[in-house]
Amino acid sequence: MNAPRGPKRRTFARAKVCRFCADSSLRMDYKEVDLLRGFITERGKIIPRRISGCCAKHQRQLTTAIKRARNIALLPFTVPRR
Amino acid sequence: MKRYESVVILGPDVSDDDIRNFTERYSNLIRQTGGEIIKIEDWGFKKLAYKVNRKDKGRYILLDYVGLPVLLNEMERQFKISEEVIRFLSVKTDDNVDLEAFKAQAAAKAAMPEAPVEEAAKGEAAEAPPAQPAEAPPAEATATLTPEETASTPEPEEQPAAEEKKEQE
Repeated sequence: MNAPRGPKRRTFARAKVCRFCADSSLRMDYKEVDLLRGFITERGKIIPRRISGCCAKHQRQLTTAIKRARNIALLPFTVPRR
Repeated sequence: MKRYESVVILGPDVSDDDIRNFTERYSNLIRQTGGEIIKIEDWGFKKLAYKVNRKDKGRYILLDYVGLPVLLNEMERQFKISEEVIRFLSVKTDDNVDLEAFKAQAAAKAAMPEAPVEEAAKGEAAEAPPAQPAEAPPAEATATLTPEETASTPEPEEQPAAEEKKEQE
């Protein structure tokens, strides 16, 4: 691992505004799998707020939606490494 | 009265008849306890994100209904018992539903596009007096809806294909 060099060590491509606040037509729902897929990693983990850019309220809703979708096998809990 | 939504996954080897029986059984159960069905959706066969009971495909059915909490308990008890159900999820979507107001609203909506169908149905169910149109139509509307939904098997074929594609990406 490289030692930290200056303040520019980490740059995330971070979404600045919450997508759900910006676009009220997006419905937070465990049935909208295509939408939720954008908020999980390839390994099936939920993308943190720091990176997804969601506001607290919507991140919370997102989390429950993803967890519900996992329960009925619409989304994976984990994606095993091939 | 509360409004609930249940997604039920049936095993991959259920036939269309089984689906019809299944929806009928739960429709009756909901009505018996004074509830009302709002809609039944058949999402068709879908690939599961992970194996459930060693099956990797399942048939998704969505039930949207209004009822008392007791009804939900009974529904879930029966889901657990029945062999064909491999997974289910129930979610409360509305806490306080005034069933009468809801029925009237649904009746008004149903009366608009399919007025002739409704009249024919009313003729069959002679018990409903024409003076009270707000009472009968919602039941008829859902009753006509049920076979249509369950009969729409060719349409869901496309969905799993699309799913699989996405997963490959």
